[in-house]
Amino acid sequence: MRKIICIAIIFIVRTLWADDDGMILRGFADASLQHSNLDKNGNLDETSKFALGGLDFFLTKKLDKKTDALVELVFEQNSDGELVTDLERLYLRYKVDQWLQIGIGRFHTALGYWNETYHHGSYLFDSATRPFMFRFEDDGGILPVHTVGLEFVGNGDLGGTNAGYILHIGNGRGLKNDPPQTSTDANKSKSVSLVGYYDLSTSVRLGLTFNTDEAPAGSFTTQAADPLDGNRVKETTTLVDKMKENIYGYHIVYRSPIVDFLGEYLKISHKYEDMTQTNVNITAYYAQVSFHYKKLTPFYRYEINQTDLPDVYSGLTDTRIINTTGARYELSDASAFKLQYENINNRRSEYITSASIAWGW
Amino acid sequence: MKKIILILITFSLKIYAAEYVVAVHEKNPITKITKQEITQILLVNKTDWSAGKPINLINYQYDSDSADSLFKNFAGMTALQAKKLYLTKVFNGVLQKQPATLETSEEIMDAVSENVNSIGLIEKSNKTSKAKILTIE
Repeated sequence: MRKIICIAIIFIVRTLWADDDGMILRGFADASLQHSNLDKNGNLDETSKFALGGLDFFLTKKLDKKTDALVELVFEQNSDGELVTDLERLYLRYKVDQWLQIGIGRFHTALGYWNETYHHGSYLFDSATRPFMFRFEDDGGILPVHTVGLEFVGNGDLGGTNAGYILHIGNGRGLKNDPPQTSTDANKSKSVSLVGYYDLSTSVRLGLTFNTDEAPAGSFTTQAADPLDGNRVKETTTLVDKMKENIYGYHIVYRSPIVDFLGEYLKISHKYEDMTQTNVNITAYYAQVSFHYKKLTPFYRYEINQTDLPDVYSGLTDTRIINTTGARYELSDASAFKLQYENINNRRSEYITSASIAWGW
Repeated sequence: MKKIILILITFSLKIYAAEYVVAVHEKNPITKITKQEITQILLVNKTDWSAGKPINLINYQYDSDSADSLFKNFAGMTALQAKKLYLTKVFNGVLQKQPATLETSEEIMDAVSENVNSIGLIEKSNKTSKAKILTIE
């Protein structure tokens, strides 16, 4: 029923917004075949599965010369096979000039390069999966990758080259990492996220990131199947401290007809202020290199996510080193085949081999 | 390692030999354009004319040699990379839609002559058109 309602909403919005500008319902989707040495509970057991990625619909509409709006809805299936619908982005943006556009709504948080540039659009990036540090909140991600609030964005010519910024002021973190606070804010403080970038040339971009936020103290209850009695639901109450979060980082992007390089580094500080008085420092970075040969793009990515102490809020408990290698092949004007091998080293070594097709329209 | 990096940089900075001109509408007040401005328009960093009107970019089809050579020369990327860049810009709400693509220079010149905000970068030819042709400074 929920599925039908969501599809109906999309087509109603599409119909209402349709005009002579030829607005198109756009989207991304992907499907894959995966083989792993661990099962979904993390036990050593080789598994193979076909999997659907997210089905991402988005609509943009220019309301007048200065104002535009965007809606993005993603349909995903969780590990239990249930359809989950996420309103990923919804905003209205007013353009004062090229250096200042003001928006209100839900955005991809200004956090480095990948989160803003690709986000759900798996067709847009070369690998089959995104770096671990940019996983979504509902997929075990450690960062606040969505923000509800205000956006200030601009770019333009600065000293003969392009420069720009994205600033978000929003509700920020709630009692737990997921879901992002969409219609409530559990504390008075607001999150501030800023990305600034400067193009040294058409090939090289340097960017800086800063994010600050405060998560409130409190408790929340989660429900899960009782491991001793599968028919029972076990409730667990978790107490959380007030937490001050600061994120700093930088990114380097190099693009040329032959080779692309992406590198991002983030330092995340979680300072728990009440009971534990603990400071947790997380370092997350990745470096990815891709080569272009006609329609083929082989790539390699190395990433590390490490924490000096187990972190209650993000759920990161130890160091995670991930090596990912593979290739992308352009099947057509709007679809790509990706073959990838991913090796994850933390407490136990995990590997995932996947073959996927991603497409966009 | 240094050698490999130098070779990659050399290849990526390679100048692709082809002569290009810019076609704009005859009523467009612009009289000259620099290579830097062209680059910013192709990369969608510059989206408006100085009068505030939106720039309507028209490209060669991305699977053509003309498009590939043009993007390598002016934007430091292949046509395939450019196509993905435009899709990314649409996804990020910077562009409402991807730039239109046409097969030949004549088609691009004709399309430019029909919309006062249009611009097309084409290989130099002796073909005449209603579009105003500018050389790149």
